[in-house]
Amino acid sequence: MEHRQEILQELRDISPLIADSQQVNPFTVPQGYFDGLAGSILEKMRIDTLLSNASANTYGIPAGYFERLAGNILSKIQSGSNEIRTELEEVAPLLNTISKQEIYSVPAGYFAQTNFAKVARYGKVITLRVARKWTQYAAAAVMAGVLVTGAFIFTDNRTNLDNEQYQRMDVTSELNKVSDDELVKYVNNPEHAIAAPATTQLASEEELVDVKNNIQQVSDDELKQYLKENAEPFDSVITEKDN
Amino acid sequence: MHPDDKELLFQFHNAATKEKAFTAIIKKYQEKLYWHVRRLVVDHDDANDVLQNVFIKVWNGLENFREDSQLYTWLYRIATNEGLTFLEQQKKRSTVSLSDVEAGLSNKVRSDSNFDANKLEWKLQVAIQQLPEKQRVVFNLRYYDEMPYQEMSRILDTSEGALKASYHHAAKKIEEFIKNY
Repeated sequence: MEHRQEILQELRDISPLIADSQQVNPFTVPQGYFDGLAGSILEKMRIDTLLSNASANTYGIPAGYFERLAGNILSKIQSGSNEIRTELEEVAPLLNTISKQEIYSVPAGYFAQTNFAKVARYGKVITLRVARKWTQYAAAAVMAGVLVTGAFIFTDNRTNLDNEQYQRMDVTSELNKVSDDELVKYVNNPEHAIAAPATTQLASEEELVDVKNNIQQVSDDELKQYLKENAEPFDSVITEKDN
Repeated sequence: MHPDDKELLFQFHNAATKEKAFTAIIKKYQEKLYWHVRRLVVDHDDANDVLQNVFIKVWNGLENFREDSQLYTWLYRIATNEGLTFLEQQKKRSTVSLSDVEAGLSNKVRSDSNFDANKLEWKLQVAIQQLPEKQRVVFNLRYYDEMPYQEMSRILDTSEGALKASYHHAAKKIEEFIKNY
C-alpha cells in the first residue's frame, strides 16, 4: 500500500494524464482458467517425468553397434562362400581351382530385348530354329521322293520307248534300203557268226536225206501254213521275196 | 536397385499395378533363373523355351502364392521342375537310352562354338552333364548359386542330409572325371 502511493506519486511527476486515467485490463482470460491452472501444471510435470523415465528404459544397444554393422554383414556373406569352399576342399579340392565364370554364350541383348512379361500374357515365342529344322526335314523328304519317282518313271519310259520303237519299225522297207552287197558282207563277216551251242549236234548227211524226202511229201500250202504259224519278224521279208 | 519381394507381391495383387510388378519380378530374377536352367539343358534356345514356360507359370500361379516360402525359393522350384520336365520330354521323344541322353548333353557342350577341351571350365561342364539329372541340379545349386542346404531342401523337397550326400557324391564323380578326361 505504501509502495502503491509512492509509485502513483512518481507517475504523477512524470505524467499527470496517465496517473489520473483508470487502470483497465484489456486482455481476456478463458473462464475458469485460473481455477484449473494448478492442476494442469501438476499433470504436465507428472507426464514429463514419466517420459524421461521411459526413454531411459528402452532396449539398449551395444556401444559402437552401428559402426561395426556393415563389417559384420560383409564377413557373414564371405563366411557363407567360405563354407562352400571348405566343404569342396574336403570332398573334391580340384573343383575349387576351377573358375566359376559363365562359359556359355548368350545372344547379345537377350535379357534386355526378350519380353518375358509379354510372353507370359500372350503366349510363347517359338524359335525359328525349331521350325526351320522340320522344314528342312520335309524338304529333304520331298526331294528324295521326287528323285526316286523321277528315276523310276524315266527308266521305265526308256524301256517302253525302245519296245514301241521296234514294234513300229517297218522291217521290209528298212531292209530294202540295204544293198545286196552289204547284206553279203554282213553275213560273211565272222564277227556276226552266231556260235552254235556246244550241245548242238550237226545233222549227218544221211539224216538230211530223210529230212529232204519228208519235206518233198509236204504240200506248198502246208509249208506256208507252217511258216505262218512259226514266223519271226524278219520272215515276212523272205515270204514276200519268194512271192 | 530391385524392389523388395513383399512390395512386389503386394503390387502384383493390385490390378492397377499387376503388370508393372510382374515385369519388375522378371527383371529381378531373369538372369539367375536363366543360368540355373541353362546349366541343366545346355542349349540357349532350349533354355529360352524353358524360361518362357517358367514365367508363364509364374504369371498364372503368383495370385495363389501363399508366401509360406520366399518368392525366390518358389521361382527356383518352378524353374527346376520345368527344366527337368523338358529333359524328360526330350528323353521320351528320342529313341536313345537314358545313358545316351546324358552323353547327348555332353556332346551338346562339346559342340558349343567356344568349346575348348584343354580348359578346366569346359571339362567341368562336360563332367556335370554326365551326372543324373537331380544330382546335377543339387551340384549346380550348391556350386554355382552357393545355396544353403536348408534353402535347397525347400526347393527340391528333399532332406538336407540326402542333399549333402548327393552333393558330395557328385563333386567326387566330377573330380574323377576331370582327372581322367
